[in-house]
Amino acid sequence: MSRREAIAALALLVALVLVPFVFSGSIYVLDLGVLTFLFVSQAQAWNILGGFAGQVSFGYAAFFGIGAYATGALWLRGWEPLLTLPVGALAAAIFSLLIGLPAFRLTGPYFAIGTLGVGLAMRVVALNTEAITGGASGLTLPTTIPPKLWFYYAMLVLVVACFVISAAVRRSRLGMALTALRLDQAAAESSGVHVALYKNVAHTLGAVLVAVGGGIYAVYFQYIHPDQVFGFEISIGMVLMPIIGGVGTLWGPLLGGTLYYALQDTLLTVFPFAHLLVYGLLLMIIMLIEPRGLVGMLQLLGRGRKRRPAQQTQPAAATP
Amino acid sequence: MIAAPVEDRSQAVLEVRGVSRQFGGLRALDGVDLSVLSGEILGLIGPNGAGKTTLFNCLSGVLRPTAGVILFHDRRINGRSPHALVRQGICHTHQIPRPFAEMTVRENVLVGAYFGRESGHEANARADDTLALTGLERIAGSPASQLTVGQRKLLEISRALATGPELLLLDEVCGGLNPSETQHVLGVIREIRDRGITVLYIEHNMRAVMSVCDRIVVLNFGRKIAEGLPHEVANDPRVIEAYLGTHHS
Repeated sequence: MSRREAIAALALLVALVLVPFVFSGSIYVLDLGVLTFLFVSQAQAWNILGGFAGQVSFGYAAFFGIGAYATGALWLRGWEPLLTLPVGALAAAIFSLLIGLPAFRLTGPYFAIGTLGVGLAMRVVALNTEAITGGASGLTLPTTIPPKLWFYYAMLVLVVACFVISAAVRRSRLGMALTALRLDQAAAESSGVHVALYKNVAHTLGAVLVAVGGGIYAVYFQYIHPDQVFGFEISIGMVLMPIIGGVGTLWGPLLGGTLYYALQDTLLTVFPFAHLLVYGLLLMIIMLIEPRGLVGMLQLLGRGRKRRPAQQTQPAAATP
Repeated sequence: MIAAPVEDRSQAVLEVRGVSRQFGGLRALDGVDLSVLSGEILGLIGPNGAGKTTLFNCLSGVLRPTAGVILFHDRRINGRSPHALVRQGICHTHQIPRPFAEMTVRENVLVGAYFGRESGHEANARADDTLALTGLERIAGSPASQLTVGQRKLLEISRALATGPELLLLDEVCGGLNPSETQHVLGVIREIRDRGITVLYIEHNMRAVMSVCDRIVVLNFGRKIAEGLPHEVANDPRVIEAYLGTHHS
């Protein structure tokens, strides 16, 4: 992360911290903030494996659901909701390893299809384990929750954590390994990179962050249902957001996640399901014009017609 | 820089004992024995389909032999994955160079330096040292995607060398190069040997092999048919027969 990027990130953070005061605690603004941050955090978390390492997973809803249900189930058994978050994160980490160890024997589209199966299967499993998940009637949680302002800042902290972790990963040995294996797995392997190990680390890191978001989400909505938290839309969203914003970049998931939720929120009341149409169009435009997404487009605009250096960002190798 | 002590030359670094590899009904390797001695450049040659690449892949961890043992300093290494072998000191190059295209030349070499046997704080220095040896330092900042074939071959060697190997496996690093490029690469290989690194070198280019190798092993139809000094091998009737065929009158 360059100095300029760090300053921009700090300025943005200060602005977001001040937002509730500027809008004097408007419920609508707070709600918009909570959900936007949730989506952005998911996009950032997915981007570690999907962007940095180029391994496209369609199964991340599993971790969101695990986080949500860990919090829901323990909360109903009298736990303090905040204390359930680490449990959900741990459960997601263990599950991500159980999935990752066999799934990373697959590469490219085969890996994507394998994870797709996991994501879909988890919904069915949750529908049939009524003792924990409440099955098809869902889980109704206690109504004593903190004010919306608390959730606004909780989700903001999660977004900051995801951003800082992503920036740190990119600078680290882990980031170097992920870039190398994304560019050429065989070459990485023969340069001494333990490919399977680093893929699993990236996978688990993303899973933990997504699970924490799932836990906060459960408390916020006080109701969770398998169709919702293990829904295929959640998995697809996590793939779409970084691709729209700029897959493998630091800022892409931020932009993509914000646009993704803004579109959904605006269009859902005006023209239901039109947001899916817009996502499709955006995806086509991005694939045709600039595979590095919005970040790539902004850089093109910023530089005018100057040639773009290859090293600035890490372009997408993620399109299966 | 440090030449291998003379007494080490008699010691086997790598021993291959009765290694076979079956692909369905095809026996690509059939009980091959050979040893690579410390500090030497051992050439591995043979006509097309002789099993050179199969043997190479067994040694580098890409393939698992179906029979036999491979010993590195008397420790069995069959079936170890390539990254594990790199940690132990065996690194290989790819016949068709596989640079990390979006990285610069130096960044490519840094990957080897960071994840190799002697990873750690001296990685940057070792990467630069390697680039100086192979002569790529002039273009260290260039994107790897813009290199010529010769430069790609050198980058392949550099990245492998940066992992700090004790035994370097080279796969046709002179394939497709012009004579002056070939001379440069052969110079680099000698320099690597002079630094005390043992080299196993597979090559099609006969002239290159004959001029650089200390010893040569010849494979044909998956078996070892000759072994010895370059001029011995070149005059061996079995080798001539393998390459040129028998004379029917």
